[in-house]
Amino acid sequence: MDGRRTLMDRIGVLPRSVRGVLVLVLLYLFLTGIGLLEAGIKGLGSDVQERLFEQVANPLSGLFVGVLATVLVQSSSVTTSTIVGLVGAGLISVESAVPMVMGANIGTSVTNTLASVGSIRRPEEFRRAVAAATVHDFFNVLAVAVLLPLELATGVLARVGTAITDVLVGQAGTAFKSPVKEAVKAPVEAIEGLFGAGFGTGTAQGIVLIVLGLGLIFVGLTFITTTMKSLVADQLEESLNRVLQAGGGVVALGVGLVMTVAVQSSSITTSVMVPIAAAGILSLTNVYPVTLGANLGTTVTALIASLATNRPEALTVALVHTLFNAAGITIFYPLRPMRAIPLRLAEGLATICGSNRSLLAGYIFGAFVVLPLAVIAILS
Amino acid sequence: MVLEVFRQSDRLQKVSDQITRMLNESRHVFDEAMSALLAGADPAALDDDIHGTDRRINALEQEIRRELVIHTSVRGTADITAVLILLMVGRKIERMGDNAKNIYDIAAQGIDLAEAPDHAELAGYRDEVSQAITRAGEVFNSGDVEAARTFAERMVQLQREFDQHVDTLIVSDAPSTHGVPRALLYRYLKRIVANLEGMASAVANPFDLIDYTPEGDEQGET
Repeated sequence: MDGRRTLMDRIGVLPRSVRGVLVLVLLYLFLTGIGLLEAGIKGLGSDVQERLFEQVANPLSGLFVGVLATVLVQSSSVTTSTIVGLVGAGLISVESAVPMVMGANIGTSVTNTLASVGSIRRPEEFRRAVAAATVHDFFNVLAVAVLLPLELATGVLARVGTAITDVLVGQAGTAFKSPVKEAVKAPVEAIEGLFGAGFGTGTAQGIVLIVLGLGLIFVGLTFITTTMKSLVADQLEESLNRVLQAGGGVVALGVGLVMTVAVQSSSITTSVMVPIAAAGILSLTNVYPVTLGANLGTTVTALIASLATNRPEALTVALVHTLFNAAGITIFYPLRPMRAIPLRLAEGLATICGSNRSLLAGYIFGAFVVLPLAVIAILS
Repeated sequence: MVLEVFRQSDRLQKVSDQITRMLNESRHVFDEAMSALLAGADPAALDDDIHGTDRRINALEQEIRRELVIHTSVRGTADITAVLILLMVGRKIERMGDNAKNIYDIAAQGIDLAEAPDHAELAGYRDEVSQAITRAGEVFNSGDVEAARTFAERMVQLQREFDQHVDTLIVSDAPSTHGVPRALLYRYLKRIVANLEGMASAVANPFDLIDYTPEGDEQGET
């Protein structure tokens, strides 16, 4: 029995106070990871930086790099935090980062789509599961389809993000003294010194610091999510029961937002909804606002990550992530005809996959792996 | 035993409270049905209350199912045994409510045993089964294995007594208006008691042996 205990089970046996302290320690490690990533990128030679930058200079490449990176790490929080770190290090511009952040939004929906496979043996249950899972996919794709061209044409999201940043921390191109950055300065410098002795300075040391930084971001966020989930599991259940009673709407959107901020993972929120919808307990109409709330809630992680850098542009990118999701919700939720678009698309795909269940595998592999790889390959 | 896990979760504790509410409602239906049959209460006057209570029992069972699906979706399979037990127990109580309603249906057919010669014996069974419904909840929620075994033994004994009554009625020369209502009543009482025994066995037995004897034979009949 012990061999089958999950990480959450193991963490769940720790006293609540210990788990609370653990979250703070993990958050510190996560922010240290952002600091290391920034330090590592700065250590790379300018030619290496230029080559890396070229890969995402095309907005479509950036979009699909965001999709693919998120599919690989199964967390948009990791991807967006990394993007924020890259912007914080000055490696990529806000303009190049915006499509990547949008891609991360699309990529994260693969996790809950995979969760629907759990119902594959029961056709009607499977159809409901696929619809509940892919409504997230369709909302993200539709939001990108509308907002990416608009952003490329007008730069409206980046401009609003920059304006808010100006008010909060100062103008782009300047440096603001982030207290969080100061707080993680000591371990970042210590690790830099440690690896500087082993690898010298420059690209080799930079690569080591980047790998360590990415490792800390990934491990930190994974454990934060698991620990927070064990801390707030009862509240999560209570919230979902509230969604049931309220029958969706703004309450459901709020629940999705709060749940996701609490566990720092939209995938957890959206994946939890899939079996509940599959069982027929929550309708697709009620699941949809929870998904939207989760999309908005997950942007908090990038905002936290931006605090570990000194460049206002990092905060701008994090804000653009929030604005993008808020704009998407404004377009595709309040008005019934607009709200019906992702719902109908999800129901349509679910009906198709329900009649031929293997098509779901084709959809996941095609949309989240083959298409991004093909576009990146063609454009590079 | 297997229920220890669910006591650690506030949400599953809530489900446990809902089980208690279901039992209280089932006892209410049982008491009302027996009062119509044994105490001369007017069945027509009880009809709305009995069917309304039965609907509340059904709604509680559905609520429990929803809660448990949400619980498993959030927590994964860590509490799966407790979840399955709570589902089983919810079903058992819902059936008890149905069996109590079946007893009411006997009274609704015009059968009145208030002045029957075996009234004292039937009233004794009524009191014992009624109290056992509440006691089953106490045993289930306490997780006391010894108390559960003692309770289950008495429920087994009651089932044997009910079987003996049915066996006697089958070969009796008494008219059908005497034998049929009693045979049905003992049958429904036996089913209620078998479900109560099953609740106790959920506390005392490993999961795979719930409703079975340690030798693997099926207990009672539900």
